[in-house]
Amino acid sequence: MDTILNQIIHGLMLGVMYSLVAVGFTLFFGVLNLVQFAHGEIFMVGAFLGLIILNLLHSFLGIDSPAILLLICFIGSSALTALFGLLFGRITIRPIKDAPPVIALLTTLGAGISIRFFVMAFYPAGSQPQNFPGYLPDWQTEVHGVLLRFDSLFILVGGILLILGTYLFINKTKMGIAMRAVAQDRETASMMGVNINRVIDTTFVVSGVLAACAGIFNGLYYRQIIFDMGAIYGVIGFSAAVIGGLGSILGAIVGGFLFALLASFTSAFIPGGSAYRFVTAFAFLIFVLVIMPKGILQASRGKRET
Amino acid sequence: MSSHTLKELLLVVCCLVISWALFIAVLLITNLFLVFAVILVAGLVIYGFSRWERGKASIVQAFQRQSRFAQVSMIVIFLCLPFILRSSPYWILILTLAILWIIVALGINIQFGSAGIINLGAAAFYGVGAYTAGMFATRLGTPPLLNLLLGAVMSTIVGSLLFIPLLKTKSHYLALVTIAFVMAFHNLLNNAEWLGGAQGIVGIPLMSVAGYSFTQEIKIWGLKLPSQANFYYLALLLGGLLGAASWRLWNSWVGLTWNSINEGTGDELSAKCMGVTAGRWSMIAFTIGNFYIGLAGAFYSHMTTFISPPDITFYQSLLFLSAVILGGVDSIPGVCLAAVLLVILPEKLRAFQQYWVMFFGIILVLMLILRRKGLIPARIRSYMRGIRPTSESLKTPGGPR
Amino acid sequence: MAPTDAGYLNFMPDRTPLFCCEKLTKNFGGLKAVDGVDLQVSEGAILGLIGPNGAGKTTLFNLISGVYPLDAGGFSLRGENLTGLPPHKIKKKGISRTFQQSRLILNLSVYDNLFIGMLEGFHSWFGDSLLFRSRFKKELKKAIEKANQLLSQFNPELAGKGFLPVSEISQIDRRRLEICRALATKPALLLLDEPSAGMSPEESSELMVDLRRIREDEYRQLSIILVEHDMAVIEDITDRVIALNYGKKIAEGTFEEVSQNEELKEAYLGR
Repeated sequence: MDTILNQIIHGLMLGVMYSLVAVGFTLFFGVLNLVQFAHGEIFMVGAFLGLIILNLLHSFLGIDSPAILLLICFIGSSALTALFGLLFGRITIRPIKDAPPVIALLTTLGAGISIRFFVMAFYPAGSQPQNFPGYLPDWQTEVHGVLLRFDSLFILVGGILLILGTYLFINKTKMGIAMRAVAQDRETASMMGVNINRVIDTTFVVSGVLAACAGIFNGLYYRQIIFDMGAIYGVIGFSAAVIGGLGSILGAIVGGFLFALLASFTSAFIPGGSAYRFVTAFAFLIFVLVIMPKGILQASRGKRET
Repeated sequence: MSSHTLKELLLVVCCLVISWALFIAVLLITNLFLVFAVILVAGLVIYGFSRWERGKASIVQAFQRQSRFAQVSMIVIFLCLPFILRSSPYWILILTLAILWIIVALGINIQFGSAGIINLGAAAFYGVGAYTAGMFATRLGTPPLLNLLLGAVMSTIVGSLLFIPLLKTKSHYLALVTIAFVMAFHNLLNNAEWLGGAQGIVGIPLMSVAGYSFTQEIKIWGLKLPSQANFYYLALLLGGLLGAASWRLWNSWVGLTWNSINEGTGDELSAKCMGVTAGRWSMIAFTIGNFYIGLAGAFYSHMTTFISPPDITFYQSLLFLSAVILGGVDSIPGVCLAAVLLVILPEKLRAFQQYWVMFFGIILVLMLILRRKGLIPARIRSYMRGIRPTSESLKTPGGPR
Repeated sequence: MAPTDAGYLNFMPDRTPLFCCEKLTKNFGGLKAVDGVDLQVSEGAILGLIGPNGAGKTTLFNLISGVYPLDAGGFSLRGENLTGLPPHKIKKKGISRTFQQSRLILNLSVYDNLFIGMLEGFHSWFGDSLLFRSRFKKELKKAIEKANQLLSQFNPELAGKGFLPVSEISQIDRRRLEICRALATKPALLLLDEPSAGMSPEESSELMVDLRRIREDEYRQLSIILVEHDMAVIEDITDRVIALNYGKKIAEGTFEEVSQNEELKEAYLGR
């Protein structure tokens, strides 16, 4: 029983990270009808920027307090990654926003590969895993046989706050409403005065922030990051968004947690399962797509609440 | 023979000789600066010609009117390449690999170029063909030629099984599933001991045809060709057959049907309203494409004598697909050219191996944004020689992009 | 509303109509796009379908061509029930359509677009394409002849443009091509969805002249349902008119009768 609960905690934390990336994918698809295959690389860039900031602050400025370091790291990386995403959107997506969606898919695929191998080529020792400093306290406690680690809880709580924040942004702010309008009907929204380019920018900024935080969480938990971490997260994030129903934030969250729990349970309870985790994930994806082609929450364009 | 015809033949011969000489020069020159210089000069010449309307027109017309001669000349050149390169068996091997890539690219061109089915798992189907051939060869000792067929068929079967649940889904779902498929397949190969695990399958016998082993050198007309030439000629034969098949299918009702259901450039809905059974034809395109890809994979494993998981990655799939995108979607000549470039350039630019992937990604993005038509854009279908007035077939559709 | 006898130019009381719809209904999450519509078209008749935007005309076409599944009701052609059939089967039974927004394939040639409509009748597929090219060539030549014939019914110039990409022909030629494509499928019933949309009045009348001419020459038996906003066209070419508003049929009869309808005037002009 304890193992199951422990696996669940681990799965929930993993789910938070997957969900943060999945929400980005679903925003891109819901608002812009775009499959942003480079989103995994934005996640990776966020992690690397976080690492750079932490190292700079610690080595050059001699700052030692973990709280301050992490605060600046999260804020700094989020801002820079958001800016990166923004530029990415302006350079690669704006020129093709009216082309068939297949073109955007391929363009972002190509761009993603470029970014990934740019980091590999130009970051010192880029092809090797990079150590990520563990500034989260090692504190852990046992409650009824369940191991609760500080970092798991930190990530869990942090992720939930971020997702809540995104939900509030989408539903309560003027820009959020504009995004939902564009998601429903781009032409009409544009005729009603919504600035489509601004909406594209905002989508990249919001998903960039989420991805950057997910990247830093990832680094803090596993204590290392590597240039191709975005590849796997990208596929899982997209799959999670698809399973939940592309276009629905809640669906992305559900999908993210499902994948995470699936991964956790496979590694824990099937001998040698961890090695086959892609095969199981893929089988699950096909299974869901066959039974529920529109995703678990039956989301579809034009007829759902984001 | 009129002097006009003679002039045209001469023009054709000149163009062919110059371009092939440049090509072989680029292959054989090892000094990178010189290579770049040659490419630069060639590029400038091509660019200059494309601006000089009259020169361009007369060359194109010469090729059109003497097309039979041009085709035969090309075939002769292909057959002679191993002779010209007989002191560099390495390049003969690379050219053979290029032909395999052409076969894969032709397969993907059927799937994506004609029918609009995005297949980002091509490397997995290549792997299925390669592993099938390897397994049959090492476990059952079946003859290599048969293994080629078995590999192709297995790849087709796996593709059909994968595609059935996805018949009614959209392109981005298919893209995702094929990406997930290749990642999962890679995962499986790395772990499954019965498939060789991380080492893969080794000791696959070299290709041989009815007892004639491909390890032998070819002695002909007093010249000795390295053993690699055997592979080259077989690949050339297979590539030629499959290429001709592709061309004929494109220039037929089959190619047109595929175009009609293409999600990107065609319109599936109106095709259905006109009686086309879209699902069935999508499946046919996907299946035939995988046959090509699997065949190439099977050949590859009999050429290199081993096949292992690192050969089968998502990145490999993307490379295969980009041959079609960069070359020109639904354009057989474009796709062939791009496949050759994608094999030869990385070999030539080995010094920049670290940066090659990054540059490739950037080139892909730039092409998609700036020149979506590709290197050699697809032309208007004229189905057969003699059906369409020659002066008109100079036209290619589309605007400045 | 029962159909009136007066004004049916081609409708003989003792002949059953070619095409019948009964109580067609389609809901979109609570919104009744089409609400219990009855419709009849007899052989060789042209039925006009009018109504303000959003009245359900295109949805009705989508129902009849099998693009949307029906929520209630049914329709039949020549007495055969077609309810629930997918689009390609409905085409086989004899219903073809055009679309409001051009769905021609721009980077293919004019001939290619036409041939797509004729694919069903072709017999040279894999065997002939790959091996027995002479058989394919015969079929190709016949297809080109037929295509030229169809195109020149509208405009002899068009036949000469057969190998041009569609992106290079004029808008009105594209409309003609779309109608040709639908005619190439040899339908018994043709659904025309706003053929003159986006055209200037001169172009509209040109198109209508063409339509009328080909009706008289070749396609006397062809029934047409025509959705249009241009009332001059409706008045000119249709035998009967049906008016929709909010998915319901609100008027039926000749153009003169329907144009007097109060509810319809309100729908278009407001109170």
